[in-house]
Amino acid sequence: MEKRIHIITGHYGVGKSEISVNLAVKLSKQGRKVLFADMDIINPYFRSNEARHILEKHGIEVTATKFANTNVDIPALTGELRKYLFDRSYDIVMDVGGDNAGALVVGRYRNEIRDKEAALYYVINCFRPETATVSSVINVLNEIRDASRMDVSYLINNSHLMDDTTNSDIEKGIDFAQEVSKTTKIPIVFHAVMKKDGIKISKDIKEPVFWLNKTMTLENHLQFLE
Amino acid sequence: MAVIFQKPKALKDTSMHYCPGCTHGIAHRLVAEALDELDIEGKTVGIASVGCSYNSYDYFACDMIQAPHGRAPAVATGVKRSKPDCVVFTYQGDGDLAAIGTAEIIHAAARGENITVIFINNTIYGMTSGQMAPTTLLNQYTTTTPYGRIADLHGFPINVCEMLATLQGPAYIERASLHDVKHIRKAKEAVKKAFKVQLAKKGFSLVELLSTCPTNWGLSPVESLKRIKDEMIPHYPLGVFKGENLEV
Amino acid sequence: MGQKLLMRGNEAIAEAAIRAGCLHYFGYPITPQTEIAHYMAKKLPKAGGVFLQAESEVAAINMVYGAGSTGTRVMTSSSSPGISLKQEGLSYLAGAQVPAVVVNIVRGGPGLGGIQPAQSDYFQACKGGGHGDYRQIVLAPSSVQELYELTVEAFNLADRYRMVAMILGDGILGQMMEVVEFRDKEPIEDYDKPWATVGHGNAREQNVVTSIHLSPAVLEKMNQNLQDKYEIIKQKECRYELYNWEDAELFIVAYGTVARIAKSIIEMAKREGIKVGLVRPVTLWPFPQEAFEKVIGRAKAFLTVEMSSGQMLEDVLLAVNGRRKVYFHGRMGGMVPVRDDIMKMVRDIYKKHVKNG
Repeated sequence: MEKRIHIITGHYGVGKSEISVNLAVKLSKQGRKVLFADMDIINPYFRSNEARHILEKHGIEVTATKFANTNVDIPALTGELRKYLFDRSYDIVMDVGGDNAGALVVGRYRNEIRDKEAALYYVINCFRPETATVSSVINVLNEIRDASRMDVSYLINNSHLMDDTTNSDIEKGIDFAQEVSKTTKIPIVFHAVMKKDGIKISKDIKEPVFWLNKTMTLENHLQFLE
Repeated sequence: MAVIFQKPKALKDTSMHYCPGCTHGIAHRLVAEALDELDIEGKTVGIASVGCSYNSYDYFACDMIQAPHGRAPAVATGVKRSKPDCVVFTYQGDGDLAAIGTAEIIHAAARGENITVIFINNTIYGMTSGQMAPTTLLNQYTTTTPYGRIADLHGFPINVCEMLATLQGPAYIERASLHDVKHIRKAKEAVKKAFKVQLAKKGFSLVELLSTCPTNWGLSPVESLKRIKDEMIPHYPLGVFKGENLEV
Repeated sequence: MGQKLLMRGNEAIAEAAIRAGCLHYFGYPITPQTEIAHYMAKKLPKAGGVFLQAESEVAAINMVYGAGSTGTRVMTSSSSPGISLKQEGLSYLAGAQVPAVVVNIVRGGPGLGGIQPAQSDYFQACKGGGHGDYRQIVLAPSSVQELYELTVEAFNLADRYRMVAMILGDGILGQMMEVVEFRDKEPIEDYDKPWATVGHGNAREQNVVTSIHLSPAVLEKMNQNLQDKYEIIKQKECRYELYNWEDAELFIVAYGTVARIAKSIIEMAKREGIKVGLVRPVTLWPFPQEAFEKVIGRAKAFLTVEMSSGQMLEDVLLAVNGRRKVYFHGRMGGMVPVRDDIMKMVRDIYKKHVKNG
């Protein structure tokens, strides 16, 4: 996490927004000045912008595509992001839309993103049907790399089945991510696990565990419409 | 007794409802002869449209679907994409194809959809009693152009073959006429070639047939045939617009 | 049951269709259901099927009409404004008795409206948006698991009755993520389709798929046949869920996303000592009258909650038929009923009909 610009990518629906929001809060708690950028040009609903109140409570500034969570679905980008990309006083968390289609936004800003300042994270959830095998995870990874015109710096393991996740599911996800890491030679930056009673990791793992708080909820979505 | 001329097998025995002197009957016959000669009736699905030929399923002996107004190329697409081994044709008039169904015909052609379109152009809406069609000629009288088709008011006629020939998709486009025997024989070859193009999986084929509507034109059958020659052909020139050198 | 996977509602519909043997999809993009098209575009070519992006919703439904006429399992999906464009085709499919599955992930209207969730297409779906005396089976799932199961079921129903089965979801259901447990094998019902237009092969009489009948007497008979079929469906195919109903005194009537909110209201009410049950129609047409007969004895009143101005409400009023008071709460335009508002109504109704009633 030594870089200033954190770009969160991955297959559609693996939990990128949840990771992004939690990561932004964590950085803010570490005393960093954080800009959160909801750059999702794919998803009309259940966007990280819906957790804006949580982010703002932590003093995080938020920028989003212009029509995020409105009744219009034009994925118009905001011009604001560019300003932050050049302001070194900010840590930036960029929540990018799913798949290569969503990663095009990174490609769009590629010339303004300096390699030495930025890390591209690729989030994995082995319980999503399209990324349930090592080879399919790598296919999507390659597509995202091509669309964003940027190499993947780290893997984030976020394998889960929402409220149905069991401890053995989590262990299955860890094994799976380690297999992907071994094959791709891309390091795992952390294993993300949603905090819940009874959820624990008994096995010994070398990578850190990032405990998540649930922010992307139906409740938040509904309240956001008010 | 030797049979020297008979009804094609691909036409049923039902007597046709078309007015005396209307060339729909000839057009039906040409399609049926092509199905017979290529021996494809058994695997053909025809799409009837909306217009005077709405019930061409009563005349053609192959399997038929009756389509909503203008949508025959989309229906044909659904048939061909689900049953690629079927031979699929639409039989559409000028209102159906060139007005309400313009989007469907252009996109079926642009996709190079492997279907055959038989397009009857008689410059008028026959079924609903003689209103202006997109192919109605300038100065032509119809019930909705009672003072003649005036460009300032009604715009210009659409030349379908020329328009579709600008697209990359179509494999074969020809305009033929049904006004005399010589031209009918030529039209027959065009119709047959269109089906052969489909059988060879070359893609979209369309034959426009210049046709009569004596009833709504207010002309005798003979005068109607003369009108095709004297008034329609100068505006709608005959010939191959796409796929002239296509060997099938 | 088999494998558990995390899926978005729209993906579950698409996956369910493929599992149900639907390898042909024709559609046109519109939010919030486009993920169905994305999924089909990726999967169908690999499965030996056809995904085709049509030039319009009008063309898409007519491609469905063509493919359905050949007896092929076929689907299209759209959202409200696009479904309006499909109404002509839906009427023809009904008249010509061609089976197909149509998905409507409803958004706010009228007109272009907006992309947020709504249930304002109930009338269009259940009372016939197109012309003529026709019906279509309308299934209203309320979870991603149900989107999967009811989509598979929709294909069986469409084939069984030679008609359109519609999945009526809303933007939230289409977009939400939930765990789906897939069956190892789908209960696919295989029907003979001797009526299909696939070429007679010189082996049988000509088949004609048509909705036009020149003689009014013949057209009336065709209509009567349709009505007879609809009557059988009303008898056999009503589906509903009764929740917390055995000792309930008040009943919320809700479907789809709103039924989920209703379930959380029931828990809130329980804590206040108010016994609330839920009547959740799963088939909106045929409307499950039977569910109301089951609860009417204990129900002191009903509260219908919808993301509309009160469309299902009319069917609830018919089902209750004046025997109890029916209240209504609705939000429109993409707004979703919130718990506090519903809870306030529940308290008021309770006071009036149970405590002081």
